[in-house]
Amino acid sequence: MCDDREKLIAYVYDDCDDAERRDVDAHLASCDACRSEVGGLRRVRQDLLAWDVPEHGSVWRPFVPARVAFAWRDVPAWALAAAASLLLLAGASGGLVTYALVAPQQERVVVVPPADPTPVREFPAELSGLEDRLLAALRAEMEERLQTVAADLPQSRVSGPPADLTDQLSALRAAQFDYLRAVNADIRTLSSRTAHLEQREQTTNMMLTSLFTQRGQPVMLPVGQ
Amino acid sequence: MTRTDEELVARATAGDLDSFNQLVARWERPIYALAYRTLGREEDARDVVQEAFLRAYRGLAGFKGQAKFSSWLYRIALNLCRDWIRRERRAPVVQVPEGTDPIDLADLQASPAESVEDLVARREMSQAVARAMADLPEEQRTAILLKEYHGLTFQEIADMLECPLSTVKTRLYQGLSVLRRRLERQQSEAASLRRATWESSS
Repeated sequence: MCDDREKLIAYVYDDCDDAERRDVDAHLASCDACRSEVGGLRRVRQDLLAWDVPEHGSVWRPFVPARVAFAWRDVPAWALAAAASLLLLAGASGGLVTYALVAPQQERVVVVPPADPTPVREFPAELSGLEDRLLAALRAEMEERLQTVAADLPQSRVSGPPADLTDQLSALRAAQFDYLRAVNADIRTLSSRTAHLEQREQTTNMMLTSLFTQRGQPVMLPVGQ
Repeated sequence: MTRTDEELVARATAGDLDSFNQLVARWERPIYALAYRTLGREEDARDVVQEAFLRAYRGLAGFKGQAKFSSWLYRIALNLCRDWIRRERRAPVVQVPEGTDPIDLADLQASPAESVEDLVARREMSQAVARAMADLPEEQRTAILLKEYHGLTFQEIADMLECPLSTVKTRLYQGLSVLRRRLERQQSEAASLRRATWESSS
């Protein structure tokens, strides 16, 4: 038993079963050296309790739930192209309706070049023809672009956000962590300094009070203490 | 309702950020205490705490519950401390000012029933323990920190440090024995100094 350090240390920490504890108790009853050893180790454990850890403010800035991201759904490529076409037609139709409703009330500015005696009543027809040609050109250009986009998309169903967006999101989160870390560093420095100053002031006042009391002198502390 | 660590981990893994915040609130102080006693400096301990929880958050998906969450967290913190010590190429720092400046007593939290003399004595003992612990080999110091200040069992320490159970007990015994000799010597020297000072002043 005297050489069985493992059994002794388990006994000191009370981390042993009942049988081992009884064995050590029986040995200690007759062995001064081991009894002294156990007593010394227990005193050390008591001294270890004096090792304080200073108070500190929290160094962690709690997570805040991020805004709900757009929920990507499985959308086939052809559906994307069709939706874009519908949006374009709706926009063009809205423009035509707006023109039809608003244009007649607008005051037409007549510009009659001196060398061209064209009557005013022929301008609206030319303008509507120009408008039709413009819309047709726009429609054809958008259609071409949509076909190009649709051709680039994979034939299989699109699911989830693009890979580059995922990478960007990961980079954004990493940047967020770095930013939070820097902010936390500033906050904890300020909190530590503030807490330290407050504690020093409090303890100094306690000591002054004790000294003045011992000397029988009235206690005079700064206003607000 | 107080949730267990396992419940909070499961919820945090599923995306509940508030559950992870609760885990941090529960374990921040013990992790800070471990880092502070290992490294000896408040700012370094704060850095370790923050990094430990960042790593824990990132690694939550891979934590399968094979060990207690606290043990896993302690291990992360210990590895960070070890890396810090190796990177800085220096032993743990013990911030021990010369003498005992009354203003420095502000670092200790005095209880209402504690006199100034008790505060000074406790401060001196705290410094003595910190000095003695800093001189211990890393393995013995870590075993004592985990057993004495965090209440881990021998088996939990063995699992965390990946060493046999008997090794943990041996390290504890050797570490405590060394501490005992050093603290007894320091207290003896302090008592002799006080006696000499009293005799010279009388």
